[in-house]
Amino acid sequence: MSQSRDAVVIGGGLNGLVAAIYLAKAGRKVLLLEAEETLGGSCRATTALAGVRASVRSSLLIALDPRLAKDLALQGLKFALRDIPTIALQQDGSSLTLARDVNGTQRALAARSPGDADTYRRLRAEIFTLARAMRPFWCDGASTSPPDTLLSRLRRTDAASLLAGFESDTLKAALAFDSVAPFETGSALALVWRAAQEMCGLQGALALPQGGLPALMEMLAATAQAAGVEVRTRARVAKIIADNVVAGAALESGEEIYCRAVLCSLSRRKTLLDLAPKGSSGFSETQKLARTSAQNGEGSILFLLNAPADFGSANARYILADRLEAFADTAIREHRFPDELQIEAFVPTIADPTLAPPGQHLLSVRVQGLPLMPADGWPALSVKLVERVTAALERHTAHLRARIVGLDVQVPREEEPFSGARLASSYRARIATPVEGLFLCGVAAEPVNAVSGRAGRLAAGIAQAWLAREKRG
Amino acid sequence: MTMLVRATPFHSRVAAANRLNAWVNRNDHTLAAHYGDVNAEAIAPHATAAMADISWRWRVTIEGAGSEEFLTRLLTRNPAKLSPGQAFKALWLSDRGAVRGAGAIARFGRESFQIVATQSDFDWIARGAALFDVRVREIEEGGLAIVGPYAAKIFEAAGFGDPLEALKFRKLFWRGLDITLSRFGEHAGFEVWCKPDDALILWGRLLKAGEPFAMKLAGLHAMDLLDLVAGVPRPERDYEAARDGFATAPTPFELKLESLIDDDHLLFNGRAASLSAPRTRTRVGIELDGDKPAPHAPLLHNGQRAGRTMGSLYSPALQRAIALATVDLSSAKPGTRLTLPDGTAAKVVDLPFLPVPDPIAE
Repeated sequence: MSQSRDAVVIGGGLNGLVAAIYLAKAGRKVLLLEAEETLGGSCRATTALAGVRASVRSSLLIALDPRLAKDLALQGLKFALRDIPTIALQQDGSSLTLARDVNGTQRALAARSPGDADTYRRLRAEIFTLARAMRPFWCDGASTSPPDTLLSRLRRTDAASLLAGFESDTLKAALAFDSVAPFETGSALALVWRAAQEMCGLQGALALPQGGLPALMEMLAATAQAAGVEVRTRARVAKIIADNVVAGAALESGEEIYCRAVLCSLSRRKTLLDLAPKGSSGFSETQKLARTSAQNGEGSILFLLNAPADFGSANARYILADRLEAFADTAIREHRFPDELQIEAFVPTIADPTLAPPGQHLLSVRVQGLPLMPADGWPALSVKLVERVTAALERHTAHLRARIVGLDVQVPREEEPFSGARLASSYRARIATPVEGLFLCGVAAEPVNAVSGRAGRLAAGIAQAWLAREKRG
Repeated sequence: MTMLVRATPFHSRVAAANRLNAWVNRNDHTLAAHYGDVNAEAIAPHATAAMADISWRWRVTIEGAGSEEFLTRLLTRNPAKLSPGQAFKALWLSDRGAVRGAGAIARFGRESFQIVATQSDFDWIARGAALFDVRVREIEEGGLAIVGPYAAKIFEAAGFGDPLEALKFRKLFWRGLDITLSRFGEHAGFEVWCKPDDALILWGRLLKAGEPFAMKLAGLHAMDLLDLVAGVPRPERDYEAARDGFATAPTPFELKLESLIDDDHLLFNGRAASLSAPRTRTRVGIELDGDKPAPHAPLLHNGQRAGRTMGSLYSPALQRAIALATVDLSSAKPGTRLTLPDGTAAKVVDLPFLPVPDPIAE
């Protein structure tokens, strides 16, 4: 038996690190448990490509909590790029640029369709009005929800019907990309959430930290150490120990660690079904969790090129998605590979050449809507995925195939399923669990699957208040 | 609505005695409402003894290595405190602390339990059991209850051996029949359970044992009345038990069933929610002015809505209609004068309406 601690944080990704640092700074004795050899979670340098320090899963931040830099004094945090425009690539080789400058975007759209330009202005104004109202709820963790009339309408609306007014299929599909599941009820809220991120600070829109995501993780790991967080890697948690209140965590090695609060950055399902004692989240809740599992996920490819991929303009995020309807492909349900892919591509090395060896470049690609468990199995399909993505991208950037000197693939893995109800619930509701003293602090506590660090920050605050209250009691 | 009707194993005997063909359904079983004289059947459990067919009660066995762990999560009392041969009464709650069911839980062995209740909740218990890899099986047996001050004498006369304490049970090979004797009921009586094929033999033997003590057959109506005067609420008949897993009502407190919750039992489903639920109502007895029962009717206090009656029947012993009710705490004091919407006067009284008859033993 080890000595008792105030809190154990499970998972050393961005949110786990943030939660641990906040608690340690509040004077708590914190142990951070990470199953892998290194910290960083999905943001750590995962690729085996020589000389490359990048996460295969993603190279961009979409929602980093601006308060982290200030609260945690991350002086080293610099952005190679902030405010990155989105460019929708069309089948005919042309493109539509969606920048923060709404007038410029409107002019660009008007050249093709005056109706779309008008719709864009109207929709953007509407979405930003809603985003302003939702902002305290989504960005600051306010527990009182915004006016119900607003929420209740959006909870019933899907992004697809919100976008139906546009003429251009490419525009619809590009805007739908950020809603992740545009045909799901409540996905309209996902578009509003995305808009709210832009209001939380420039980097909220889309940002590339200097040195990539791994550099941010190293900075956080150093901050954690300085704050007195005890870190153990290769320490996979097998069980959360609890009766009606949390008592600690048991490692796969059999070691038991006792503490008063547990903050878990794993998925809700994994935390409550696999780690917490059987039935401790309630019989109905357990059954509900067992039923709600995602069927699709996001795959990613990191290409190493001997010259930058040229899509026509530098430092933009490119979306290749031809039709909105392709998001509703039934292939996933049949465990098949979808006929049309929704692709996001970005070249991080133009703004930050240090991410790849001298003279070489990275092309970071995310593909949405891939089956988690395809009938043929992922090892075989990943070759097909690379081939399909390369072929699709090559229509927009010449000589891509010839420039590839290496690549790394990350197949989809189970993530928190999209839910409108999740977007409309408060951080407090998502962080708390039916087991007292057990808190979710990872993506499961976020409104959508995005790494912002807010879940970690807010969970630490809630856990801290709970620890203070329990001590008195 | 279609209703599945099932005869109990005693049906042919019940039918022969049911002179007025007065039938009712409960838990999908066809049962005698009464055997011709409601008042006499209602008095017998207080004066002499009565025998009733209780095969309609819902019974499940729970077996497997995880059964104690499962029941620890399911029940509002800790099954670890039961030794084999013992039973207790407990509730099971929804995730948000609403009463889903109430019953007697008996421990047969280390990994084997039985739940007896008046309303089925198979889905909830079977799905919960699946989490713990525990087997749940419904039991179809014949069951007879003998209640009244002479029940103990009849027990002795039938040759069941040593007297059985309350909330105990005993399996017995009795004159060629495999039976289970139990005392799970509230009414100073006992229950005998047998295989369906042995039911008619059991019926005959118990009638014979009861003869010297003027034992009467009691229909469902008289048994309901017995519950009512004893102040025992039953799901379905008196209140609508929660059926949604996330339901928040009815709470144990408003049904005044909190005595079935152990304060030191920390792990049961819905505990946190039931502790924090608002406590604004409780259960009381209501004496109505007149003979007419008023089930599930609003109760007014100085013209303001103050609660609602549950089951209500005419009590021949009290010579008036009575009811169980949930009322606001401010209207729950015995003696409080309430009215029904039609103006009928109603008075809050202590429960039980009548004391449970003491068994006569010497």
